[in-house]
Amino acid sequence: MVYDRNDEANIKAGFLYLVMTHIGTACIIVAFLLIYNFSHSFEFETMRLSISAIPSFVKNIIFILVLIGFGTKAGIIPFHIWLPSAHPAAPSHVSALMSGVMIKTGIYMMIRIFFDMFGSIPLWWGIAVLGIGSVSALLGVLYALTEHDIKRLLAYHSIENIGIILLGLGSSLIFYSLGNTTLALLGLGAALYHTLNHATFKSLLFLSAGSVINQTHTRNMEEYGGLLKYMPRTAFFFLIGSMAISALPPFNGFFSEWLTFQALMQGMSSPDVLIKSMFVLAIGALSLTGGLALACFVKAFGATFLARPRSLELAHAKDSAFPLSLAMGSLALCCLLFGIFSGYLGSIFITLGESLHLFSDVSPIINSSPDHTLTAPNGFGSVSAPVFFIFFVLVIFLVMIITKFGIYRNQKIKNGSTWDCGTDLTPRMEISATGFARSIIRIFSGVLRPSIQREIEYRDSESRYLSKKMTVNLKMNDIYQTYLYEPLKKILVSISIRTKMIQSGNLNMYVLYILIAVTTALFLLK
Amino acid sequence: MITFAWILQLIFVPMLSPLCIGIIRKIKAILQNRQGAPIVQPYTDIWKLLHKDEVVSSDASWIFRYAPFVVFGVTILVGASIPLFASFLQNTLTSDLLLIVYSLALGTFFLALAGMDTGSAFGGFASSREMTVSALAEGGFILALLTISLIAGTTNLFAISNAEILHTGKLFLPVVLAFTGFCIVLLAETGRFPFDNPATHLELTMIHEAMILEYSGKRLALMEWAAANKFLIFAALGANLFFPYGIGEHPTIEAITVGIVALMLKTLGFCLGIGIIESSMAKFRFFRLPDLLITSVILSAVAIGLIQIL
Repeated sequence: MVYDRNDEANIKAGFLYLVMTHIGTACIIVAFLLIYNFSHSFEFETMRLSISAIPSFVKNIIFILVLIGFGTKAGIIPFHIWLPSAHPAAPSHVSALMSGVMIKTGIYMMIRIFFDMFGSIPLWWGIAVLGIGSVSALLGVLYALTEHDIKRLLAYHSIENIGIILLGLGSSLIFYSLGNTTLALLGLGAALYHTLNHATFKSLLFLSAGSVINQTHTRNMEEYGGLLKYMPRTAFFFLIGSMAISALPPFNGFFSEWLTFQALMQGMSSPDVLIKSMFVLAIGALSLTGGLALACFVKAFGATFLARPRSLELAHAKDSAFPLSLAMGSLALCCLLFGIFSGYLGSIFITLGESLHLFSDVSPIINSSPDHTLTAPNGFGSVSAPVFFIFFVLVIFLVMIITKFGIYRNQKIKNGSTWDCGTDLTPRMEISATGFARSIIRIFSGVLRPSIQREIEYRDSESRYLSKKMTVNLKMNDIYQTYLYEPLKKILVSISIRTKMIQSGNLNMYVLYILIAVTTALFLLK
Repeated sequence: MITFAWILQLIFVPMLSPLCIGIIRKIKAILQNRQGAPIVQPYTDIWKLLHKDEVVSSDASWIFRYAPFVVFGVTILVGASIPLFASFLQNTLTSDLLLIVYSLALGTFFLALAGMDTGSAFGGFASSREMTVSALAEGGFILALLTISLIAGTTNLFAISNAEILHTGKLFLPVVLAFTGFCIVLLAETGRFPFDNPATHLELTMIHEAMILEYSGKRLALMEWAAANKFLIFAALGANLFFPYGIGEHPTIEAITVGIVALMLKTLGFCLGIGIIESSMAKFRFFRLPDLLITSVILSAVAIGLIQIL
């Protein structure tokens, strides 16, 4: 990741990544050692068999450690801080791999440990995962909206999508502990399906963003604009990625979110008030996330590819080379095909879930026969992607034919300049990426904590009517940085200063330390 | 008979939607002591626009050129997939609640992109506002419809409009609460008071009208028509999902006629309500709109809570 080692920001991001993943690894190692204490083996199969011997108190500790450990690797909030700084530092193809594959390994291990190893799951585990999923999804997309660095924006969207995956996983855990294995299978299938979909569209988005960065030499979206005319293929692929990640049909993102929604809706009919309200909150979070993600990608696509270029650099931009276009094109095709064949894929993922030991005794299998429709259990809903797609294409095609040839065939179309109240329209008048998200930032100012500083230089020191220059500084205060990581850092530093006292530099003292350590060890091992 | 009903279902929304807009304008005119234009004026407007030459901005890309077809196509697709006058036209393929919500979002996506494409400041800010409002409205929209789908036990819209329990009028309170939440979303999504002013010519307050400011000719006709379609779609959803009285349950000519009359009466009710709101209150300040949208989310959440207690 520290590819360009001359850049200080890269080194810093690299270290942050190193520290965070090591904290995660430490938690994971402790969790496995705790299991080893009972199983006396690191073989997964042996661990699974001896899991019932572990008292529930220790199990809960293992759950928390696993959640923190693999959650750090997956980038759940509040252990996400390495993700947005790691992505801009890494080259784009590495980002594509990191978002597409690396953070998914965390999800894989969570599924492996919770579903494969643990036989009985307490209810609060599922509720905790569902809560973390809701928070990650909602905050991830809100922070993404505040970004104008295109790769940080995409990195925050990875956090959002991990949140959506956890919503499916959490609902699955809850249903399993309630004994409803059919619905648990549905939730797990939704989570797995979204994992695959996120890997496709996020890789596509990172590759196309990387190709834009390559041509413009900046990650700042405020300097983009009008790139659609210079890089038409890249723009088209980015558009498809944006539509897929915003869950617009007929692309794949919609169908995995549909399954997640269905799993959550089934939970809402639960008689227990706590569970029901958890599910209502999760659905509220998921639907708000969907709306905000749409706004965020209108911003990202609009600011990057539409209107006029905001800097002169862009005039030299060329479209991506053929191999890169081929890579993006095949990923874009995957986004469409994984959507159209959602019925088949849904049943594949549910069959995958069935292969877990937990679900070996599930008799009423949903979606068992591969079909073009995606169906929810109990006849709750169904949707057919191919029919929608054909209908959609047909309608648009017909509308185009009829309006073009059916009515007033001799219509003349001429080019003119955009209406601008009689002034000279310049690129500075277009809406900027920050301006686009400004109203949403203000509405959610309770969470995002924006701070604004204005500096005005006046033309005349006497009168304060005519300003010469004005600078506005808009900054987001990261609440995790201020309320979680800063205090932690302070405590850590003060402990380090205290322990420094034993480092006297005197050789005799160190020999004494060794003597004390050896004698204590001898006594303990006796 | 079924074929006839399907054809009617397909062309129903685009055929009658301009009429609804005409009726709203007439009601507003009457309330404001004006004569007003005839109620068929929107039809003649669209016809006129379809026969005009076009000016396209030289900054515009293919997004601007093709967005009207997508936006209009989506409203046709959605209009054909929701229950209008007959619940016997069962369709388990495209009439899912979430598919409808996200298809409408697809239209909004292209509308907002088209607004940004010409590089005008009006279009860009209108897109920003539109996306803010529609992002916040989405939660209320999904939760309001979910309340009904929980009562009916399905997310298929035709099955909901056919659900016995809604016809009997049990669970009246949750339905009314969710309906109130839905009405707020209806005003937001169709660009009506207090969210947006569809009749304004003052750029500072425009949302929808500013996004389509650069359009002319056929493309403007499609955009205006799509907005009208969207209104009728929301009115039909509100009428048929929350109060599915009178909807045709059997493929007979009488049932279809009763269904159409019932839908038109209920839509007339929506038109009347909007006419009164637009004549009696002012547009809200933009940053007061989130309060209203959050109210709609809370109303629906309370409604979901009440279902269980009953």
